[in-house]
Amino acid sequence: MRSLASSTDSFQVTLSSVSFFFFFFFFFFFFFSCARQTDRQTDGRGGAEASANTMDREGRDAARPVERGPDTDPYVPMAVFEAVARLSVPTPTPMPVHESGRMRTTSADADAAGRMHRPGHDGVCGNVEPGGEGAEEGDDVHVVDDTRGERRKRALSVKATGGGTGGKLRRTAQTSTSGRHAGVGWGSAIEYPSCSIVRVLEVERMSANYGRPRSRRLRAGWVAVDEMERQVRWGPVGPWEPSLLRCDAPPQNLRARVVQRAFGLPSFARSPSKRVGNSNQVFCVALSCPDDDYTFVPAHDAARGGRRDDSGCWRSRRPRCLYRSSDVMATACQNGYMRFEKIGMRQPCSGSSSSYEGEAGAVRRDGDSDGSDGRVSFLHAVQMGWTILDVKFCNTSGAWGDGVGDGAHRSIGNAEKLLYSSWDHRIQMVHLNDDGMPADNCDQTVCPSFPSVPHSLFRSFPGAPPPPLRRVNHFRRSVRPLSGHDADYTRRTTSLGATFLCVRVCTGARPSAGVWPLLHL
Amino acid sequence: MCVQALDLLPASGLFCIFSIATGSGPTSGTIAAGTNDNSVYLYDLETKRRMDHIARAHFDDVNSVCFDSRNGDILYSASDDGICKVWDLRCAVSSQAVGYLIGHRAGLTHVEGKGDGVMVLTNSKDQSVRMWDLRKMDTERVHVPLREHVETKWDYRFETAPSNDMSVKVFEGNVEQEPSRGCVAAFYGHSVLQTLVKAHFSPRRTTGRRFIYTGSSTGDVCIYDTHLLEAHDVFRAHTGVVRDCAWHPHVPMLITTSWDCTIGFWSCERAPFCGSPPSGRRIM
Repeated sequence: MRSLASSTDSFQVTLSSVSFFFFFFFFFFFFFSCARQTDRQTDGRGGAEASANTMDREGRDAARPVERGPDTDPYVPMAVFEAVARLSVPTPTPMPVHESGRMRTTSADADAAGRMHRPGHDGVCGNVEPGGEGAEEGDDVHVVDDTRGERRKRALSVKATGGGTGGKLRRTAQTSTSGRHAGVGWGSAIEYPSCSIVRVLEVERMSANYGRPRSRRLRAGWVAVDEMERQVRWGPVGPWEPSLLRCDAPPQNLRARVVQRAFGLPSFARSPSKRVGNSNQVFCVALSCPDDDYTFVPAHDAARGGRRDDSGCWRSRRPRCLYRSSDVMATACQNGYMRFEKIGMRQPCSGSSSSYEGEAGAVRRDGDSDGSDGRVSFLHAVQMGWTILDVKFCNTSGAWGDGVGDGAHRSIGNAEKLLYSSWDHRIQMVHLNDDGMPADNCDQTVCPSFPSVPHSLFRSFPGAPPPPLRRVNHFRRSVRPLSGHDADYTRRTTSLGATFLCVRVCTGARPSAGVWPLLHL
Repeated sequence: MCVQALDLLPASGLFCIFSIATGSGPTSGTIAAGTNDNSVYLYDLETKRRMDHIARAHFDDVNSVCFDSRNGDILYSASDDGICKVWDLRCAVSSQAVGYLIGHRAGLTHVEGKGDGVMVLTNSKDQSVRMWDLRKMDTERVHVPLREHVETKWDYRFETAPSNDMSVKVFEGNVEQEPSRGCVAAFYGHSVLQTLVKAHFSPRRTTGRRFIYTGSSTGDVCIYDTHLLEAHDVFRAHTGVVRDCAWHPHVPMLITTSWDCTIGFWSCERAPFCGSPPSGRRIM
């Protein structure tokens, strides 16, 4: 009986051992299964992340669905997949779009397209936004720089094209959004021939410590608003002839904005007029600064000892300043008087009015202390002869000489001749000084000669009413066919300023004569 | 006073030079003159002699001549015969013109190029200033005087102008609408009487030559907008005829000369781009 009990005990021990073994086996199996499932889950998640990262690096469209999902791998739990999907799908980043709705290209694309971007000039074309309501002179134009996909406004100084003067027109510094740079605008108008209305700025961009411009100066570019083609142009600065780069079209409403704000429509004030001293009819006017002729005076180099060549033009290594040395107005009256006046809106650099000497960029404007107060000052008056019908300033010295090498050749010097015409068979040419005034001494002086008028035929009517106009009309229509007759025509200007036409017609034995005022020539 | 006389050596004794123009570029030393003997004279400043003479360039007085500022070899001449002719000085000058701008119904008082080599304006006694496109000009030779379409029954110096449609007209090449070729637009509103009133393009630097401004025999100054094709501004400047105007190329200053014996200086009311005196400030 003890042996049976001991055998039963041994059987129970054995059964316990087997149970433990099976329990341990199942436990181990279960643990291994769990570990396997964990490995499968880990593999699935890592593959999705790797795929997503690959897509990012390769630049695929991130909005595409993840290839691996619950249908392809039934062992991956949905929660795990959703977590992986959230991690692998990045937030879509929109491409920078221009305000006009067109896709904005990046700088790399711009290079590939061969436009806009230039190495070394981080500013590419953008939208010019005239600042504020009724932007006027001195306001800022903000150029949106989209080079890096961010809108970074750079402040440029609006300088009226009426400046055209060069030098330090205005300096504005405005910190950009990055806070590191400031834009400084230097005005120097550059002509862009095909623009209908153009606002051009030559801009030099400096670092924040622009107080030392010579050390950190960086030439950035210029901005032009082409009103006719509705384009904003932005390009690097050449000395005088910048290469033109076409940019994206600005918004459609830029045209109106530019016209009405930045440029402004001229509306002339009803300012009072000035009466000419010698009361007489004023026939024509000419300015010594024609629209197409500009005088490029290298003021910077003039201060450094620029020199003139034989033709009287400045030569310099680097012309910088643009202005005209004189604005002289010549008006011609009916009695033959020519009146010279200086318009003091712009003066040459400091010094005498007949000299170009001066400091860099010393373009004077109204109210400056060099005597240019914006007033029109009477300078000279001389009686040239008969009624002057047309007056023109001209320049005969030709273009600037070479030796500059940076494109300043198209400018010519000041007007050095004054031409006027009248009832004469000659054109009278007046030699002028550098300041636009008539030269006093000249070796080629030829005084204008007028036909001698017999005093017997000359009569003036001081204070008398002029003959009826119809009579003059009849006179012109009847005198012309008088060929073959002994007709003598003379013209004479009285001391009172009235010009008369004296005619003596010999028809047979009884000569007739008449005097008519020349009012309508 | 250093004055030098440039003799044109005319054939007739009664001689008048109505207009002079100086060339640019290849003709920088050339002076052109429109005279009363229907001719255009060319004078060379270097050789100090008359270079050429386009005899009978027109059928009447040549009131205005102008060089094209872009191509100095191109010369425009406007005459009392109502025709504006285009001359190419590289060709034989004494031959015929290379182009004709026909459409005015009275004599021309002034011609001026825009500077782009394409557009030209003419001011006429038919009380209109027209803008022409040289790409559409007539190139056929005009054999007969076109007096049939030129108004000759009145004298602009003493009489009033015939009634006219005082409005801006835009021509788009419709022959039925306008029998002239090359005329882009016609601006009415000013008065061309008593003298040769001149019209000009506004400065290029400040306005892009957008405007056309002209004097008027009524004493007004009219400014037309060539983009919007409308009268931009008309203001009373003088009590007499405004024969000539000059718009300063750099600042918004307009200078007018009048037969009321005054010279007017007009500044911009609002000074958006020039630093001119503000409105109402006396500048004289």
